[in-house]
Amino acid sequence: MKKRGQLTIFIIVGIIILASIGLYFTFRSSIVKQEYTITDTSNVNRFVDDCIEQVGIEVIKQVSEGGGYYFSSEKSTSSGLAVYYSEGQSYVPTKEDIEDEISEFIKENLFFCTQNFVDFPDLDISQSEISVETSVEDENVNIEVNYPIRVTKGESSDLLRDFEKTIPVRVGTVYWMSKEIVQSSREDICLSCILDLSLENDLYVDMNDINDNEVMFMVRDENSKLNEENLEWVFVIDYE
Amino acid sequence: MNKKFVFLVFGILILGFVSSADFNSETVTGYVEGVGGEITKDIEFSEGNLVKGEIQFGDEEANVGKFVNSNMNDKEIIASNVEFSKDKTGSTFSFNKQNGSVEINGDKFENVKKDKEVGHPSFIKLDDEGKIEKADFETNDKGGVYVIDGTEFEVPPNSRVFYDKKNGIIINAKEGGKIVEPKAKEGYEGELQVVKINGKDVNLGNKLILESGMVKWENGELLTTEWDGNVNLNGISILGSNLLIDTSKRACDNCISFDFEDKILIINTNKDSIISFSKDNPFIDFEEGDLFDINTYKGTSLEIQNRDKENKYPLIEIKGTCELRNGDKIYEFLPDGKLFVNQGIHYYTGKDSSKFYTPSPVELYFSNLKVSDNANKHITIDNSGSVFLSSYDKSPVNYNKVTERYVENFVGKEFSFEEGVFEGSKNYILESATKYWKAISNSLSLEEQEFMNKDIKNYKDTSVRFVTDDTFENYTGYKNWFKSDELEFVDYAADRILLNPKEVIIRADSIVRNDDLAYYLAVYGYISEEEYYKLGQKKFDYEYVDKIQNSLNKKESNKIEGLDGLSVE
Repeated sequence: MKKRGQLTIFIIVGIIILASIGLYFTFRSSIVKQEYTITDTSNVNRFVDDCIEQVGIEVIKQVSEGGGYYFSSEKSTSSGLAVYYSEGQSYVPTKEDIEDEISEFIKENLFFCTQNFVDFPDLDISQSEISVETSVEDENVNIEVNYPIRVTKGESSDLLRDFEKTIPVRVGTVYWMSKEIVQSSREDICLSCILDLSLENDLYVDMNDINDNEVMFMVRDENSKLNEENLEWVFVIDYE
Repeated sequence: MNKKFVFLVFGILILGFVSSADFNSETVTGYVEGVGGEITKDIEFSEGNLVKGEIQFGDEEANVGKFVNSNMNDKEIIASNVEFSKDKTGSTFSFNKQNGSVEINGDKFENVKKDKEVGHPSFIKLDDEGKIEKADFETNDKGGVYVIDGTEFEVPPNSRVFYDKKNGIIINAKEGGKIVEPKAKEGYEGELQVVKINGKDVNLGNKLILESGMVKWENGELLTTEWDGNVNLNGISILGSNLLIDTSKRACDNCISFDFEDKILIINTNKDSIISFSKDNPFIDFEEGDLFDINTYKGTSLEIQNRDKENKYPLIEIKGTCELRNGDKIYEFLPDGKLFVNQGIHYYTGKDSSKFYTPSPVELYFSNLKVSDNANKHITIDNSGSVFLSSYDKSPVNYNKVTERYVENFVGKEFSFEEGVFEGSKNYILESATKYWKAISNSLSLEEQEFMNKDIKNYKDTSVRFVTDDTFENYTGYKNWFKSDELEFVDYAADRILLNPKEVIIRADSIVRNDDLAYYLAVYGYISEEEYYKLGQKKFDYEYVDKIQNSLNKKESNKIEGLDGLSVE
């Protein structure tokens, strides 16, 4: 009796598994594309929005870790870290430089995310040149993207143009603090100044010697997450 | 009636004559002969005073006060087995025979080695008033207690004593000798002479050991001298002028106070001083290769507590301005409450700038630290030189904290730790790797660094993974499976390390401190040879290192030739 009951359960479970596999293969394509196959512009809009956020986060992360530069700055260490002060000369980028850098690389990388809208095969989508304006604030980064996109399906057509995204990361605060560190620690490292700044702004600062002259500074904000990782701003002071 | 008795009677008669009659060549000659002495160089008189000549005295005590000055009492100076010489500069008693002795106003100078034995003139020189003007002699195995100008001082056996009016008394004590505090001779109320002491491992009392350098007793206080170089006391080197050396926890404004019982050192200075710590000091945890110096200034106040009983790093409470050199870093505590750190140790002329110094772990409390009021003002420097501000566990600011990311940046090699690897093992490995690369980058030229990297780092492109015991045993337990995997298995050594051209897998559990692992880390260049010696103490086998490196160069082979017991086919 007991054995028969167990056999029945196995048969039922087997049928359920087989049915599930069959259903999956039948509706697989619609599951995968579910998000972007509805033929209205709002989904394209959402798709572009998501791309701006995704690319924005990646670019901000890269720029932060590069001390304000997406690629190595002209004044950098052999391992490519941005040098902010060397031989009596400051190389700290301005806030505008950083905003431009973020804008530039969001613009460059957005294309790789939208991928010519191949995920929307049912739509005819044309796009024009992208322009990006970034504003680095204390508490967040605002990204305004002018991305003219014409979405056509059959006879109906819509134009999407302005996108805006706010990434809640304290890039402005971290950048300001980095500038303050350079100001206070250009000759020797002012530990008390850095501690005071970090306590005041709820930030963490890790410093490491690279060699006898160069010290790497990493300002870390545990309140700002980029893909679940802390915001980290990295730069070097050369004490030669 | 024997001969000796006759001479004695004769001597007494002569003495009576000398004391009552004219003091001249004849009376002196007669007296000297009477006491068994001998005039070795003609004596000359002028205006009733002996002004020139040399007399050798024998075993018999001679009363020679008048020889020094005719107005003195004969018995004010008593000499035996010494040579007396007189010239226009004064009277000199030279210890040129065994058992030489000179007694000046009841203060006896005896137990003194003869000059030929010590290899330099050994003498006491008096001025015309019979006061000691200069002295230089060395005690014999008995040592002695002597008085100069009202100051009574004890000299250990086989120790040299210098005296002149300019420098006071200097005792060059024999190694291991004991010195007690000088005191006033009974009945003397004048100012005491300064007694300077130098020597090696001299016991100054109250557990205070003068390891080298010079200190002085002045007005009842033990002090450093006035810039006569460093004085080393109980593992602490002091360069400071007139700094009171105290063992009674006295409060003062220019002192260094030793409390050996509770291992507390208090330093208060009113002028520039440098306090350097070395291996045997009881206050700071100091290892070979460390550098720990404190520069103090006017108004600096420091209290150092060892805290080893609490299993904590030594604590230094800092008030005022000072400069701490710890390892290769200089920490500047400034009057405005700012704290700076720099790498200026390489410009510090007092130490070998080419040497790589390691830090001593310490916790600092800088009460003036200029930070927000409620902030913790403690700074911790750990054994690896990592600096943690405000909090050790979750420091908002740290300097040279060794993290995986930092080591990767530094070493240019990917380091990873399996979850479950003990934190202690992880820190140890990261610190070792960092030290190794720091040592390379600090001590070698760029060309040499490049060469080292090429030569030592056969595994330059590999990553390093530290795994737990369990994981490691899984790998080694399924060697064949592991070998057949895309990873080419090269070496399986001492149950600690798995090597292949792509990855080094190291067992990183509690056994990480094992000598064998240290050995392999050193062989493969992950820790320095110096580090290895600290850990392992096993002789570094260069032949073996060569074998490993040569074998590793033959990457097409899965077997390391010649490494019996270490290779796996």
